[in-house]
Amino acid sequence: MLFNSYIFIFIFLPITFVIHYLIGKHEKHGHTLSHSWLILASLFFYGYWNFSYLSIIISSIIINFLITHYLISKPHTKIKKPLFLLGLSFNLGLLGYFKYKNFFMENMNLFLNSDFHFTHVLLPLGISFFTLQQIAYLVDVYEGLVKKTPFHKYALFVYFFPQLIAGPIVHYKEVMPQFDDDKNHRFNIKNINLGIFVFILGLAKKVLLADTFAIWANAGFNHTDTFHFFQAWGTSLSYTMQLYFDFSGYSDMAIGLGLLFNIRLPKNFDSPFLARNIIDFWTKWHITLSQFITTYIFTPLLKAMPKFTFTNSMISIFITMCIAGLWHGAAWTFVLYGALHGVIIIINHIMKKRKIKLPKFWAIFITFQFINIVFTIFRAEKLETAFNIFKGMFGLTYFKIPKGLISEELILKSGAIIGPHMNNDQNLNLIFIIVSLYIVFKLKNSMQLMQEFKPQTKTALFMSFIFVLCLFGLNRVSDFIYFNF
Amino acid sequence: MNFIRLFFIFSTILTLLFTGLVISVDPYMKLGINVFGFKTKAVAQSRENKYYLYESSKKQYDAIIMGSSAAHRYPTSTVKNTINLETFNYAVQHSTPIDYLVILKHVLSKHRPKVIFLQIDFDALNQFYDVDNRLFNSPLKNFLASHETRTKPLFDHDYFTLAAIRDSLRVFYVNYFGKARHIYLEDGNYRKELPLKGKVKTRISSSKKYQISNERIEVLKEIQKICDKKQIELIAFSAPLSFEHLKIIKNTLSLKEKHQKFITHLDSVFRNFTNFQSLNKMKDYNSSEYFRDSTHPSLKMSEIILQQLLTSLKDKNNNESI
Repeated sequence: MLFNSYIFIFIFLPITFVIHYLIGKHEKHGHTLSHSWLILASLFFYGYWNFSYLSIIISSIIINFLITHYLISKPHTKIKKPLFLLGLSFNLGLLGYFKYKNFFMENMNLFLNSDFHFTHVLLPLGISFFTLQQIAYLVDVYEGLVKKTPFHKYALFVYFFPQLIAGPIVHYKEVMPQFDDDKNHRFNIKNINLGIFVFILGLAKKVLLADTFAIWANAGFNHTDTFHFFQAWGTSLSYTMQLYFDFSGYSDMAIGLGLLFNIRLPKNFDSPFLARNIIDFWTKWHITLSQFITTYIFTPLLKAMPKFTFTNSMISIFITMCIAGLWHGAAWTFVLYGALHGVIIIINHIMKKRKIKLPKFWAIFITFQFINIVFTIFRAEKLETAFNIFKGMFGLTYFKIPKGLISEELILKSGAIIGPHMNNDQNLNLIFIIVSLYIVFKLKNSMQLMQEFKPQTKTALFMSFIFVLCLFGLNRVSDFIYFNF
Repeated sequence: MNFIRLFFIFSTILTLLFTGLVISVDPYMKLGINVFGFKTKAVAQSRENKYYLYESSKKQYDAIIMGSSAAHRYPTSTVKNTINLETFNYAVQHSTPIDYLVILKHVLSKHRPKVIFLQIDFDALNQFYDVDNRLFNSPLKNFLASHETRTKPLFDHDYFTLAAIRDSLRVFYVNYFGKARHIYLEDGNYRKELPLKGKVKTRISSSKKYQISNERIEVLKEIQKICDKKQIELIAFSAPLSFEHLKIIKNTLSLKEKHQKFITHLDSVFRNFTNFQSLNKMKDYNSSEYFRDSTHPSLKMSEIILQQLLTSLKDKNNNESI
């Protein structure tokens, strides 16, 4: 089920919400009942896409729980390490099979010039997210940082539907205490107001901005062979904006939904395009993933190095970023995406070490250009597509004064449905890009707006206006980009 | 509680306002409502556009091309250059035989053509494929027989969209501040498009429910009868489908049978019928050079189809001009 769908907004959410608070009132078993209800609702939410995925997520959670439960119960057992490695292998194996099998087999056939036949495996939704969350939990259990947890709480920590499919990746320390807190089972009007506010901000980012940019980005990426300068820039900027509004919109919706149930999920974005370098960027973009890879990949890698030196930490960064790239998807373009980030982070560290500092404007400008370029690689199915766009962007094809950044013909070619007055829309892409650049560079981000939120009449009117526009935009329902990862 | 209450009240009012705007403007002419008395619905589709193009033209068209959106790209110049007849492309989207009969009546009200090319889709004879409401709300409605009524539900989910709000505002703009613009060019030709690349997208809409409509077959018979009476050469043909599309039909038992019936019916109704929905005929045209999607032939394919029809017509008449 998608957050941006009528069935979610008008049926699933109201029913889940009302029953959660009704059964939460029960004096003796309120907690357990409302947790169980949220688990059931989350399973329904997940299984709504594809019922068969449920078996994967349920077995994953049962096996992880059994292993971690044993490790917590018997912290000094002889089989602690083998059991931990078994749990880790299970999670990585699951991810490897569903996410990387096709990639591995295709590359093996390519490099060995072989012709092994294999069945393509469908990627279960959110597997990258719920697996990471469980790996983090497993590692912390192994290190003795976790107390005994009943199954229903563990299940809720993984299943909680607002963050199940595409994060924010939550750490058990952040949410478990909230599930336990008595006052979080009571109706909290302040949180509900705030939840509605943030949910609608996210919905607007997704429905009004990301899905509109998607038309231009898809049209552009499908036909890069005839690109000129402005079309190339229009395409790459459209995708950069689409990705940002899509993913940060999803995260806002997740945070808003969490608040409706009195759960504060961690923020995932913090005006990333205002980053002054790529190190800074990763503290503002997909923050929960950055935290995960720092704690659970970079730090162990560095610890495994023979010496703690600048060179070794740079090598660790590079490897970590390649893994982070591959986490996004099973394709060489994603590895390249990660590797490029790794290289630039190393350059940033060298600059830092040598105390080279760029003026603020140029630092932000250069960082944004780099991000725009790597996102083009991130989106392109083939490197050739990305290079065609780069050729256009750097004026290596031809220069033409545009009627609109993405021409009507390109949109038609992509199969998008347009009305007879598309000519009037030719400059809409340019207008959308300018407005979006203003939003991301000049306006406060949704987390800042959340802190300043006051439940006033004008806010209610404004949010209603945006919400109704979104409702009218829900006919062009589309998945979130990060659902694929 | 105040914020939530206000939020719901405002949201309800705004939803009603936007819905009211779209329904009262009726930008796609699906409801037949014109509260503001607009002279034109700027975003109206081909029925209204082509009606006025045909009405306002000073040319006397001796050849007419009829069909669905799949016939939009048949270039009138191909007919003109081959058999020297002024031609009008009167193809309209989402059409059924009832549309063709109404269009024929409109054409005859102005001038009797010598040739009519009638392209028929597989969907057009499906009784579950509704007659488009836009027919009943376009000027063509004047040519409908009194018993022909709309079959499609009044409210369509297309109307509760951002595009519908945008187009409603455009209708206001066009009527009060601007000029209407049409996607169809002179003689009903379609605007220019860049060629596509890659695989042809397959769009099968009839797979869920398909039942040959006897009523629509009767309408086709009536079209043939009128043409015979008026001594118009009626060249009927099935709309070309991509090779992959035809393969799916062939491999789906229920569709295969219905498709065979569809061809048999057309063959028996029309004196001059050519079937382009055959794997043999389409095997050499299996790329996006020839199809924009599996049911919409490209300009190049449209020219090939027309040329084939014209060649057989010329052979039949053994003459350069009809």
